[in-house]
Amino acid sequence: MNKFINNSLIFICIIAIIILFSLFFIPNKKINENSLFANIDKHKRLDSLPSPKIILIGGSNFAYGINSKMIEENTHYPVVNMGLHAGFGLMYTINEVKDNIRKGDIVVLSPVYQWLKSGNEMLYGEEVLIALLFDVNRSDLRYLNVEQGIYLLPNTVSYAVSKLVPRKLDVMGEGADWYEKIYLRTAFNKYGDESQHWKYPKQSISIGISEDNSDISLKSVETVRKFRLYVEKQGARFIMIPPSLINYNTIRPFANKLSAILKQNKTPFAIEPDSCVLDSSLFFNTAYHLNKRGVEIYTRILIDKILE
Amino acid sequence: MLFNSIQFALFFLLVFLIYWFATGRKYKIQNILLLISSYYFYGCWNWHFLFLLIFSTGLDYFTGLMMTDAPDKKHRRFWFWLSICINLGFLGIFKYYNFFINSFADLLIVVGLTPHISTLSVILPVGISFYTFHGLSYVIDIYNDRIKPERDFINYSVFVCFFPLLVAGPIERATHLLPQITRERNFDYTKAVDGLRQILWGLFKKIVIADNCASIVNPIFDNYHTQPASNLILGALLFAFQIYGDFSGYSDIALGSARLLGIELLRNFGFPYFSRDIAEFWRRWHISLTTWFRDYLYIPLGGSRGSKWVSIRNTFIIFLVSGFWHGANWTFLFWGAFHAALFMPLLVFGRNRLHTNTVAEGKYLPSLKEFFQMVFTFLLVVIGWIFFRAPSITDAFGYIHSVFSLSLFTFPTHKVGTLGLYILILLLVEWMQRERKYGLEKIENFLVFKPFRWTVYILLIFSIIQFGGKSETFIYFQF
Repeated sequence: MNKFINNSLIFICIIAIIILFSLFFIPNKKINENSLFANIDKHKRLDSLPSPKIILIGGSNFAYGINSKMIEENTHYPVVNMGLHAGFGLMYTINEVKDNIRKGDIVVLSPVYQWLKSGNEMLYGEEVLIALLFDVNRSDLRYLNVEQGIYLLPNTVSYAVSKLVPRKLDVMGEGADWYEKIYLRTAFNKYGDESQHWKYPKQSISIGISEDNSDISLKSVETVRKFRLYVEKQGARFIMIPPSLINYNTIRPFANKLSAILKQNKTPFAIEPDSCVLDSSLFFNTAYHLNKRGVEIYTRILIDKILE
Repeated sequence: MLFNSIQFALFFLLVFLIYWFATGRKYKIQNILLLISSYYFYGCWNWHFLFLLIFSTGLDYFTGLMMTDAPDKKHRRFWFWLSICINLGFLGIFKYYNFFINSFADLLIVVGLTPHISTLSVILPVGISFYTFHGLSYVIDIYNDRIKPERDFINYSVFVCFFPLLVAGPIERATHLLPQITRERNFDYTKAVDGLRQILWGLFKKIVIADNCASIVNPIFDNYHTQPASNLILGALLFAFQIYGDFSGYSDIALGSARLLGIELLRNFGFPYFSRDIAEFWRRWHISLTTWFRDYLYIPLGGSRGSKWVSIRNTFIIFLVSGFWHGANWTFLFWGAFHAALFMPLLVFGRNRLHTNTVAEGKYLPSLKEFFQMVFTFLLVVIGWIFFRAPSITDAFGYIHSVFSLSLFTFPTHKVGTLGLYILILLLVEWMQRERKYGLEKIENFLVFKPFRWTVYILLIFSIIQFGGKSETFIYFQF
């Protein structure tokens, strides 16, 4: 038995060493200077802006759906758009800005619906978060808590192995010529908005047709509620708006349930989800990414709420 | 709790450590642990059905004792038939009730009547076909004086509910498993390592082969009307590897897990796709079910002892029942009948036991004749799998009909580059190991140097992590 236990432990140690080596010392050339690196620039801007400021928090719905310059011109607050990827998960997305919230700031959260669905992992993040934390901005590891760390362990192992046995990292999918130009660090403007895609025409978008009647993740709702309390405790203003929607019929049952539960938790959306339903001609390449006209309309909705 | 989940890995690790370190290696305490773990494992699926499992176990335990203690043959027969009827009754209600009701309703409609029949909203208890067959074999063996009843309820319960085989087999026999449960088990390093290797090979087949095949096969079968014929061919071929990887992978994990606990289970697969005819295929596919039907149905019906006609009749019955065992759908019955039809010529001409050895025994490569025999048998099996996989007979024929079009000569729209490579690796490894029990058995014979062996294990583990498809449940859980 001792021989078995010893050999098993040695074997596990060898695997652990290979995985840790891969995680910390093998660079991932696949993600070199792609949009994940915009996270570094966003953090630099977040650290440098004086208060009062506007901090936009979300997934790619904000990165590819907001014109921060428009907000700045209309509100006269400096703006930083921290939205980048839904795969970072709700917890990380909130935690990475917490230290920079000051009195007088306006914090706008637009949670993608996946973050709030029960039974999926989007609260904690996906493999793309591991890519960010180990190959883009290692200092951001401090925003992880133990619970997230445990939950992300399989993703961490999977990501480490992906560097040894090459495969495509599904950061943003892949596509045509325009694709190579918009999912880059350089495609983001100084506010943190991805603005290169504004000049490209609408792409084909696959939209789900079945009704989404997922359960609400009460843990996610509680995370949002605690974040609101934290923001208010810092003396800042908290606004939560729904993401833009291309096809409201499919998400209606879920959105209605969510809206009701958020109200019960005294953390309601500033506007109802159906107010963010936009015509499909206003979207770019996914049901969350807007084209230039769509960006203007959705940003206008947000400005009106900020100015209320 | 799926075998290919982290939850199962943690659960098994905990059971393993307590089993060998905290029980004083006393088999009675180990059995109590196995029973609690097995109930927990089963309860993770649906704890309500634990009551059915415990009732079924209690019934067979009790009738086993009553038969032995019966004062005369009449009483003995009474207890025997009581157990058989209740066991098959449960199976009938949970698995076949709606099928019979719907089929009856369809029949009434055909003759012009309008039936008002309501079906039951029943959930199929996972593993019911497997543990019912465990119990049946036990009762039948006692009735036929092949074994003595087990008087310790815990021991008997472990025989029925042992978690590695509880939900998808192999279907064990009391003569094989009970003696192992009722004696001391000693830890054997070689066997434990062998168990881990078999688990690893099973996970590779399930996660890398079967789950990745499923991601291509499912959309093809779900939308076969709109697929080019080349995709349909691809879908059918990949389903053959999916179901093999899925079920034999499960069996490997079950056998490996049991071996780590010092228990040997019956072998369930013997590299069936290297069969030279259908008769050989059935000696190598789902062996524990095939031999169960042979021993408890075919032989009692007269087997091959009577006339040729009786032999043909019995064989046909076995194949139909075997098909029907898989599920309450005409597709499974048709699949059974299809295989019976393929088997009949061999039986009639006395060639059904022509290939009882391993193909190309002691050689690296098969002869050209053997190669074509294997390919031909495989293709026949693939046709059968279309009926097995399709949701209805109409869909199965629709699928086959759609193959006959000009689009057969186009390239499939699904890319199978990496998956194809892994299937090739699977076939190569299993071909080299075809005279052994599973893909990695006795790997130390040709990878003598330990670092080489460990490198192979690490590569397999990384492949499982890296190329694991979307986690699918095991196909045979539904049976």
